[in-house]
Amino acid sequence: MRSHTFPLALLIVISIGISGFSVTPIHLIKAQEVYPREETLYVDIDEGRVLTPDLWNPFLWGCYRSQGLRQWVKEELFYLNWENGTIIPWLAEGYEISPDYKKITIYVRKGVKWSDGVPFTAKDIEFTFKMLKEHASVWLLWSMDVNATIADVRAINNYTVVFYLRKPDPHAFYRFFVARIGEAIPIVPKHIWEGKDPLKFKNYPPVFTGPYRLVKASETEFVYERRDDWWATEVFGVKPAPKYIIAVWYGPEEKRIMAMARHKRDAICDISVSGYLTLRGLNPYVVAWYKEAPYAYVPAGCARYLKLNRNKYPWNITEVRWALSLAIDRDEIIRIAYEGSTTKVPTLFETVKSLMPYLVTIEDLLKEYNTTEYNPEKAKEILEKLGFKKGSDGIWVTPKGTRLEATLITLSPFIEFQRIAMVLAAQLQRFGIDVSIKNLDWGPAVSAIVTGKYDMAVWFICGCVVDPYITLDTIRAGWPHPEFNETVSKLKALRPEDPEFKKLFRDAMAIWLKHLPDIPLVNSRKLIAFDTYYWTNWPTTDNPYIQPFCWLQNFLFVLLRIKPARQTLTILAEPAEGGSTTPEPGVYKYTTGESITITATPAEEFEFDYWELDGVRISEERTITITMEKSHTLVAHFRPLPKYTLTIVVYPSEGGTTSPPAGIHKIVAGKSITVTVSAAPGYRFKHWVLDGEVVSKETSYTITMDKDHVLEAHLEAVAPIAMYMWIGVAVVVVIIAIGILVYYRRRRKTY
Amino acid sequence: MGLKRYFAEKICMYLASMFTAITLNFVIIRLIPGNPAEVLKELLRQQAISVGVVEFVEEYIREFGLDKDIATQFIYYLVQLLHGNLGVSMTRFPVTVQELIARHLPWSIGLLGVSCIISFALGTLLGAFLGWSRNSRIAQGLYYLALYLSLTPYYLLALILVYLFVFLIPLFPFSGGYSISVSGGLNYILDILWHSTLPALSVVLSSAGGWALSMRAFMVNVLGEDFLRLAKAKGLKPARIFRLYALRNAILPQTTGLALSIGNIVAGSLLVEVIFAYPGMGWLLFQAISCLDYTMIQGIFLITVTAVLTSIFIIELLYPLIDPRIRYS
Repeated sequence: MRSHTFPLALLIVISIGISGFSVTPIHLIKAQEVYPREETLYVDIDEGRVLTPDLWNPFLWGCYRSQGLRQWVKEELFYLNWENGTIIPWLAEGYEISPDYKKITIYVRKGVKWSDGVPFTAKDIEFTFKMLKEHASVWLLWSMDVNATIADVRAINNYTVVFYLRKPDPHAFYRFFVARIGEAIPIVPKHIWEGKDPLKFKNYPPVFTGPYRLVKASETEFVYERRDDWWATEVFGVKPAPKYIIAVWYGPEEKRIMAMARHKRDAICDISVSGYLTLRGLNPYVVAWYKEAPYAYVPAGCARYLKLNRNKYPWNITEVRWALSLAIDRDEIIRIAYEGSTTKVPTLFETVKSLMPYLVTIEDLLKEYNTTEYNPEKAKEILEKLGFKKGSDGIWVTPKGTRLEATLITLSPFIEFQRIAMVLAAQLQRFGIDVSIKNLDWGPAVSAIVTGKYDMAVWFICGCVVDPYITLDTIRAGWPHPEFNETVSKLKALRPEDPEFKKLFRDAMAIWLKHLPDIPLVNSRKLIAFDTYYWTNWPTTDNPYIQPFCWLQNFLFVLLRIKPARQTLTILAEPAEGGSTTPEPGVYKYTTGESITITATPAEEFEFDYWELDGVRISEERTITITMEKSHTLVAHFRPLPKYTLTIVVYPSEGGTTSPPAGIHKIVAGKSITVTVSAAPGYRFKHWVLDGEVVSKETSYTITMDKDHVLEAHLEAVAPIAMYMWIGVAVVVVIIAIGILVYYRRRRKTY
Repeated sequence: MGLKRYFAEKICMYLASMFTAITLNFVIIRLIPGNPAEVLKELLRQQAISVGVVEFVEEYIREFGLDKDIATQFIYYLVQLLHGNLGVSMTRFPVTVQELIARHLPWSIGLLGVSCIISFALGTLLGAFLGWSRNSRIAQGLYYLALYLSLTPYYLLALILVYLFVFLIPLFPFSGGYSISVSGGLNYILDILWHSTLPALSVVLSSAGGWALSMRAFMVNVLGEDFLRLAKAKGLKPARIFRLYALRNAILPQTTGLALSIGNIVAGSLLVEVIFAYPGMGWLLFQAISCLDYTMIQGIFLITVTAVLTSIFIIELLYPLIDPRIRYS
């Protein structure tokens, strides 16, 4: 028989060794948590693991942004709130654009400071733009555009900077200075960057103006601490509630959901509907933009569309493109690929609120050219009119005699795009187009499109949210239609406020809709989950103060609005012996917005004075109610009651004692006190004298303290004769008793 | 064949393989469909930059020598390699490839290297046991366990581990290679070990089964050999037969497998890094391929190929020590 003892024993020893080694350090490590959870906000890193955590130069390609740089480290001159289309002046307080669109003046806000305390001035803006112009190259983001557009930039004084453009450009202001979907051109501190090569400078640790400073950075985790010297606290009186922010990359959606289910993160940037519903089942505190379906924030800025290779037959035929559009059931895409979490988009412009004034001008055109219609019969008629015929295998045969086949490209890093492609391919196959999906990585996919080696692609366009020009400009870059190009060129020279702008926009869209170069599919959507367990007041449809995107710059305004879910109420009694409260003095946690009733009860000899809330006297009622919108310190002030002096005197002093004893006593005003006297041997109580008047002959006397009093207990000595007399009587009685006893005993003997 | 000739042959093979690998590394990358300049151009458009895009593509091509003919590019590539310069990352400009690899490689080696050795040791021993006592009930049970582990998809196993030991019983951290709040010293080391335990366990569990099955097969082969019968006939103790006759002969092909798996260690494991949000080379390579970062892909492949060839070379040099038959032949 073979022995298997030796290998088995070795195996067990190694296994135990490994597991012991693994579990030992857990407790040691758990003690290392230094960021109190209730003061810390945990946010997703949208871009995945950060390969260069020490690169904070915002002009370089390799610099990551959604790890905090864009949201709470760097700030913008102007922000755009898509919800209402307003521009929020932030580092700047105003601007002017000259009527000929060749000069832009920016007025810098006074009181803004860099995180190292140096004032932020127009000189910094001037320096940044001059640096970009000087080093203009493809390696420095924005620099080519800046150099091509701006002729000169001058800081007139510390708070005014003027930009002179090379030629009229009505869109330059929004492009350079307003953070829309993407960020505007970052402004960097002159005193730090001067003399540095912007192509090599890492800017680590980063110096910007935002409310948080970077404390630690790793590839998967970034820790930020709130700057209590943030300029906006002084200027606007605002301060974000979280003391710390930790941006973490947790990996796949399943793990991010698990983390939020355990309240280990407060914001997840975009998850699937099924993931969200699972999460809500595990953690009832989770909220999203909508309470019910579609849950997600729609539209999120980047329309999804079917990009067609118009250089290839038959996609170069407008009617074929229309037939294709009619063969697509967008409702089915929304139902299957998006689980109902988005909506149809009729053009390449998402229906964001700030674009609506332009989009309403094409409503009648959209009725004429219904880009969202699903009508396979009509599509079939169009193709048949063009000479297409259905083959025996159900696939259309073109008039040239070829099978209607298509390669559909989709982006492998984005599951959302793959889902659309799968539904789309099934629909087109059903209609009679033999579609094969090519799931490519970002690089090969872009390359296939650029080189024309494709038929169609599920693609996206991150256009504009201010005015429609940028999207139109992007469309014309890929669709060289002369009429469309001319209209967009005219549009370029106009400001959105110009009445002609809307007319030209309508003209451009009429051309686009007629030819339908690309096929719009659905609005983009972002399902951002927020946990209200530690932090509340997240942006939702009930409270739509700003977009909920936790990876974009507008998240700064979310930080300024969120509140701790639980507020601390510290109750104190002053002086401590003066009384108590209900609930008792101590530190309590309450849900934000909760109303708390507190009652003060004075101790004996004290009375309630007033309530002090955060250093301000607020009430003299013993019971108050406060609403916990923030943490408070509540002090119940008590004061001692007024007292009178009661002087108790015993006459003569050796004649007896009193209770309370003779002496001076401080008695609370209005209180009744009973004084009792006990006579010493040889004395007897005579009477009480109150303030010089005899008031009682009882041994106990009750006095009410309505003023200062002197109470005298008068006693008198008892005479000694009386005592002897009684002794004599007692002796006589004893002698008589003895005599009687003796008489009866003698008489009994006689008988 | 003398030992000298054996070594000379191996050194020549090593150098030839290295040159072939370097050449293939250069050529294959350029066969990937796509153009890195176009990828960056699209990224540029996403930043809403429309001006100067044409100049951008031209300058990009010029900067990375993409406009030169392939032979010139190859010579330039070899010269740079000889200078130890792997170039600047095309998408993480101005960060150099060396810098990025230096930052990520230690994590991959630390995690995958250790777990590979553990899994190799465990799997080999388990396989040896399974082969040695293949008729016992314990061995049969363990055989099915090894089979099950080797066939379970890694991502599923890893997610189950995360669900069990991170979510249900919160013993291990959710992500990362270390806690950012822990600074140097012993705690830092313990913290790194704590973070690497679950990823390592997942790697060990998923690969130990494979090692065990292959070792079992080798062991079964060896058990049928005549020299083993002779050893038993000589009355040697079973433990001695196991260690010196069976295990030592069966382990030879296993070590070759170990040398080949060095490549996986250096190239990193994308799934481990994604699921456990663990730093390492896998994500770096994935990002590089996604954005067609030629210099980065070349750099990583070069390191990987060098590591595999070198480890095979070392193993082959060590064979005469492990296997006396080579020494005496």
